[in-house]
Amino acid sequence: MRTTIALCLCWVLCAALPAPELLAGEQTATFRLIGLSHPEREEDFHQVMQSLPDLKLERWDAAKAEVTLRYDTARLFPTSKPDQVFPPEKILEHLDKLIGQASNRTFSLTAPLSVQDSELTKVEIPCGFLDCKGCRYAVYLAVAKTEGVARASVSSETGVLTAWIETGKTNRETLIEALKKARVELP
Amino acid sequence: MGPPILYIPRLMASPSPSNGLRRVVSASIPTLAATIRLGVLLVGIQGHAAAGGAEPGPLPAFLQTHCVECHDADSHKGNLDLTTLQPKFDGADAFARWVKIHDRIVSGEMPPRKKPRPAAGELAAVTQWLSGSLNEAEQAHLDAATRTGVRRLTRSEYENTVRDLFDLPGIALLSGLPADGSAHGFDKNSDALDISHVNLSKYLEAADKVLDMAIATQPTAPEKTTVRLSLAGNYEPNIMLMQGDAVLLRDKQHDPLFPPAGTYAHINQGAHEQLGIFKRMSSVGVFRHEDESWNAYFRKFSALYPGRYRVRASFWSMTWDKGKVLPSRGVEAARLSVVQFNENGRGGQHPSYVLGYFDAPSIESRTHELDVWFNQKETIGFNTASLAPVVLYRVGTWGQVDRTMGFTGPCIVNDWLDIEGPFHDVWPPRSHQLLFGELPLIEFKPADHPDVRPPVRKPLKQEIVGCDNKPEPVQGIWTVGSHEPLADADRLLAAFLPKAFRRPVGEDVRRSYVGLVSSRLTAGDAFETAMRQAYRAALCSPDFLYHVEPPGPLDEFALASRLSYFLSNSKPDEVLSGLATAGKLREATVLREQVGRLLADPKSQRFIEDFLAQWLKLGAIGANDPDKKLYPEFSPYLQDSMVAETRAYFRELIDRDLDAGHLVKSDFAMLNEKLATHYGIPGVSGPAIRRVALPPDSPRGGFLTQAAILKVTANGTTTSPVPRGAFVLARLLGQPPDPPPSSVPAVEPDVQGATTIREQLAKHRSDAVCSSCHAKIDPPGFALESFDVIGGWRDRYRSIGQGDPAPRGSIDPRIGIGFKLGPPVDPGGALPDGRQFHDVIELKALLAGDKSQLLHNLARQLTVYATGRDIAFRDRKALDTIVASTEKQGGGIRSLIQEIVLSPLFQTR
Repeated sequence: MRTTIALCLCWVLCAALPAPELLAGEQTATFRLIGLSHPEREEDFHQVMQSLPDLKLERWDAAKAEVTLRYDTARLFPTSKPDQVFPPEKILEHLDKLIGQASNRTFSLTAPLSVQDSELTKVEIPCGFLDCKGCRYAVYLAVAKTEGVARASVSSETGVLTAWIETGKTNRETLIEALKKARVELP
Repeated sequence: MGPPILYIPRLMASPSPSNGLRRVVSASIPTLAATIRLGVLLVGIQGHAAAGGAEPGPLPAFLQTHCVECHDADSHKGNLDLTTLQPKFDGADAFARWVKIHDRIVSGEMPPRKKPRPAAGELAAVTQWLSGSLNEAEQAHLDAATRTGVRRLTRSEYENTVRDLFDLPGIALLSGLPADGSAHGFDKNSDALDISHVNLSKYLEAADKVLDMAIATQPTAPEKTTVRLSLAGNYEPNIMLMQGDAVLLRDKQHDPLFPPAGTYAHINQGAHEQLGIFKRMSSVGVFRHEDESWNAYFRKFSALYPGRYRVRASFWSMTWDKGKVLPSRGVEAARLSVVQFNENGRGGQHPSYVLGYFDAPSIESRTHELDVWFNQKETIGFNTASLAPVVLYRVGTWGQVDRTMGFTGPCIVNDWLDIEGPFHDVWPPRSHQLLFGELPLIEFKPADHPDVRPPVRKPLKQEIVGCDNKPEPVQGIWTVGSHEPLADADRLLAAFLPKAFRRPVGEDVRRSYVGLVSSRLTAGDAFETAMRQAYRAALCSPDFLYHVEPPGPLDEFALASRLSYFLSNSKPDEVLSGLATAGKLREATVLREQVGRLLADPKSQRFIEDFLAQWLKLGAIGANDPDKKLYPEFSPYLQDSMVAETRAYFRELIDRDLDAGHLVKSDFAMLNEKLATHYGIPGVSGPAIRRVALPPDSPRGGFLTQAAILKVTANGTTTSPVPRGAFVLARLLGQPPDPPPSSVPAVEPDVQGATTIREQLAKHRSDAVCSSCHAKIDPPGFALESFDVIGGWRDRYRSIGQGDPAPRGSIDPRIGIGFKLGPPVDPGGALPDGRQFHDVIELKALLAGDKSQLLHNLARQLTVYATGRDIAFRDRKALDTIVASTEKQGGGIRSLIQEIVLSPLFQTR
């Protein structure tokens, strides 16, 4: 718990400070982070980042589940030619692989959503008593990759799944079905 | 040759044996028919005598006076018609029949008690005549033969011999060999040890397996590692954790990262595993007993290098009370076993053997350490042995809605399990040194030996899915180097063959094996491969596979072997071989000393286990599983405890040299908590077997009322006095009954509770043909009716039909009771000599009163086991001498074993 608070403080401070300037060859990019099922998972993500010295967490937005990463393609792709240019999708694929391996596939990266927050609808589904980290993650997983779900999170206090969805693509009933299919016992 | 049997006119026969008129007629005018028959017998005997047989002596008159009335063509009680039985002793069947007649007369069983007793002189005369005639006949038959036939090693002897020869104490060979037969109660008997092409094919496979394991193929020993394992993180336990049959614990409380399931179940096992929740070395508390659908294995480890390992495990127990950890009901028992994975290890129900049952004390963790031999693809399995083996233990089912948080019950916890090894104090290992001495291991470079085929090496890989331990890479091919292959081969074989063959080996034999090496070298094999062929041939040769004993008195080496295979079930060790070489083994003091030494050696446990597996049929303890509805309290732990009791009891009899009366009656028993509870004896805690004083009125004590014996004599559903009575007669009293006539159907006990087996047998015994045998067989069986199929005491039969509600007694409260109490047990009866008993305690007192008979039988059983042959009629005097010498020393079992070893029966082939 103390570690979580310390990391959160650290993150707040980091977010408040101006970003260090990019070194030669370095780039930054912002990605959508899948796997951030509930606040304690932020600590897990920081541990993952610590195990990847070639990646720096430049900024992150927990509310939007977005991260900005800094990296040097020459270090990411050590066998590449000097000045070789890598398309964004290739970089995304590689970074997703690195983070997936370091997190036992509990985190993954995708391209940021193009849809604006104002276009999303908030859906809340009570899921019973979720005092187990694994179960919270499991509830999250049940809906996180459903088409039309922009982001989701689970509260350990209330046991409520909150999802931000594109109403044209999915709806509450679809999410409930997905939860039932994952054997989530709804109250 | 006797004359042809005369036709007895039908008019002499009664239409019915039960006809009262017939009895009167027969009693008052036995004369004509009997006289004719006696004449036939007499003529037969005289004819036999004239043909070189014994003089007729007093037999005809004796039979006429005391026997023919019941054993003629009409009555032929006991299926014996003395009027047609020719007095010939030279056929196996006829000989056996006359031996039986002799024995019945000697024992006083015949003539029956209700008939007039023969005069002492008359009795002595006829038994002496019969005994002399039988001895003469047998002597004539056996003069040209040896007492013990040629016999090969049994499966267990083979395995133990290889284990000791190669110092591979856990190599598993037995299951790969065809099952041995059995004759006269034991598989060591030459009559049962045939050999076929199947055996030979399996011996070749076994030899290859041995040599694969024995020969080192890398320059240094595999690195010793220590791995700490948790039950959590393994596939099956993870399932148990998810569904609430187990709970994750830290610091003796539930793990906050994985709270016990309550109203809501845990979901998505994979998600939990991905997050590493089960990989944090938390303790795992298990509520559920293993069953057909779940086994707990430590799957993260599977041995790659066969060898000695050290296993440490930490256990404790508790009462789980809806989320609270409370002290347990006592010391629970955790079982560890060695599991042999099949294929790639997926699934459950892999073959295993039990390492032991270990204390899991209340709340306080206890560490247990044990040395274990692992073969390849083996790991450790765990079970909550002392918990009830029923699905009712499963939490969250059977109407329980609150899952683990709503469950209260016992729990056994494993904190961790360490596996350290493999341990090699020398490299190459002793098995390799036995084959190649001090020759160096060198790297074989094909370029340096273009004309030599390199030894075949199969790359070692971890075949078990999910295991973390991987093989060490070995660069190059490492093999045995020799600059003078044939000289080395001669030297190595000169050392190996006498050890393998258990006696000196002639130069000609050795040269034949060297010749084999030479031919393989010429054919292009590497030295190791060529030598391997010779060793393979040796391990499949009759010199290795058979007990080679000279006719007549055994030589020193054969004596060493016989002694070693008797008390260690394996080849002679260095001490015995040394004494044989020095020619000192035959000395009585030396033999006594060696018997003592061998019995004190841990390897004597092999003798105890092998002998009891056959004498008391302990090997068949798992032949049937008790009916779950009638005996829901039965568990593998109870069965293993039963076997452990009987073995420990026999060990106690030997160690303390207790007398043969203890075979049926004793004031102590060897118990653990499980058995003590089963027997209703308080004050025993934990799984360890220990000596426990019995209450004065206890029916326990002695083999007769041990649960193992009572289980092997039952069929899993019901008991019957017949097999139990027959067991007592054959195994404890040495009076095996005749097999049942094939035309008589077996009596099927009624589990519906309408009739008792005694009532059914009463009907059966009313048949005169059946009654004579059943009068002997049934009484001990009646007394043992006080015990059910799992050896529990009963006053009333259990029933799945009619009956009264059954009280729980000592049955675990979590076990459902579906049986009822049926008719009462009547354990009373009378022995054939008329002595009556009311219950098993009185029966035991009667049997224990004749210690000499019990000792005599045990002497017979041990001698048959030790010498590989049944006791012949002519051996009886030698057996009597053994018993008499033992009785002079107090009649102890240990003394008996010593006297057997010192006897001519043991020391002659």
